[in-house]
Amino acid sequence: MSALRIALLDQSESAHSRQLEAALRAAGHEPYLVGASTVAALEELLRRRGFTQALSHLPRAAADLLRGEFDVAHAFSATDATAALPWRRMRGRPVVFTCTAPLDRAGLADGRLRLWTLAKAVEESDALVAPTDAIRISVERWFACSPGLIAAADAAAHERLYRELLAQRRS
Amino acid sequence: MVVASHGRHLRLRWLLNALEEQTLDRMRWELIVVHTYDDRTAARILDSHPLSEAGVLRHMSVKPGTGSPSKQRNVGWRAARGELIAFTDDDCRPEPDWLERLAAAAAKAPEAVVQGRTRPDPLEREVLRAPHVRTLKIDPVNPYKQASNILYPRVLLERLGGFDERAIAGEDVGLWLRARRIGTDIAAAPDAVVNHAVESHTLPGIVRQNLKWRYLAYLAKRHPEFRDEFPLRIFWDADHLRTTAALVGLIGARRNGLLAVLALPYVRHSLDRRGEGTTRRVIAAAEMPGQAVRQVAEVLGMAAGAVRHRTPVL
Repeated sequence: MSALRIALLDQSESAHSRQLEAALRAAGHEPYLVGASTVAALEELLRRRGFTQALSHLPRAAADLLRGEFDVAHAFSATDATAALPWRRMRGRPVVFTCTAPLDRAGLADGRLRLWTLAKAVEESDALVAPTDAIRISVERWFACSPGLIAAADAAAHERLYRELLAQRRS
Repeated sequence: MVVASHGRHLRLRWLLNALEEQTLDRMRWELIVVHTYDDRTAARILDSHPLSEAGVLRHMSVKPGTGSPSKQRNVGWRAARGELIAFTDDDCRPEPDWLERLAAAAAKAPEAVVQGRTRPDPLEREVLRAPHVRTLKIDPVNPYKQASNILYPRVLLERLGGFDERAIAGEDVGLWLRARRIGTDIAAAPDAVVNHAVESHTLPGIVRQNLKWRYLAYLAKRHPEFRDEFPLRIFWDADHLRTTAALVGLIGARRNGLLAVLALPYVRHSLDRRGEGTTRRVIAAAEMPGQAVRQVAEVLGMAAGAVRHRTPVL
């Protein structure tokens, strides 16, 4: 089977995306970490206006996605997933969202656009993934949907998911 | 307790989670949700919830497009089995001891309506930095008796016939005004706390949303005694009075420059809305044009309602 080109969108540069990048590369795929840089001054300004999640990297992430000819966009934050959804409309390729930390009520709507981006990421991504059982349970509790349980470094399970989603998109 | 829900399925789920943590014994209360969701959403949000599995939660749907807060609440309390009916909204998060405190206050004043405290959710306070925000702050007892945190004896609801389903806005205060007419008392339960969502909107979004207040003219027509709460018995609140005065002042200033003075209370109040200090005043000044558009739209909406219902209210 041909290697997949996967965009890993992770502004927070979490261990999850790095582990997955290494595992996918070892499995012969072409993963790329895209759009990770934020503009500190702009972030500070946005934070003062009530935006509590990083946003300034999104234009760059969206541009990188459009340039990259990726098969799949895999986001690791709600804002990254929100940036990938317009790309899906344009390119017709799937978006996967991995929730990297357990959700709790305090963090669900603690800033402007927070609920909007989380709801879009969880409800509109083609697949929702939880790397641990604690995260899966928290997503079920707050969003009433069941993410697939896949460990960050499990390249084979991620590949199966990507191919399944690509096949669904083609049909 | 009864919740009407429309267009906020995630917030509803979070409300259910908050109710799951209530300290009042589950044998003593039940929850009725009356919603407009399709079967799939209802199954996902409501049927799958532990309160449903525990037999505490029942839900019923009304056809999309036919629901309203008053109609849905009426369906809910009529289906309820309790002697006391507590209401909250689907964008609220009650504190764990909310029902217990509300029930305790009701026990002390058995035939009275009980109003609890509603505050902007502290977990969402950062959103208050947005220029256009919708939330609710109620220190009981307030004049409007909102259904975000209120309890009615069932017999009283039956006697009153429930909420007025012709009222598109202000149905909660309408219910209270009818209760007051027949001599009902109200008790405050400031320690029964509900946290209200803090939601930011775009300017067109908030203008669209606030246009519903034009239906308050119906309330003013139906309950003239409520005008006692209105500034000068015509203006819905002090904001509307200041906005109208500023409008008159600015329009009149073309003929007589002195009339511009009428805009001063509006300008002063607008500059103070973010608090004291230069930075806050600069932010308030930057937000003033957007606020003015919102408030003028609100007053014009009220004027349209006043014409429609042939009653003077702004």
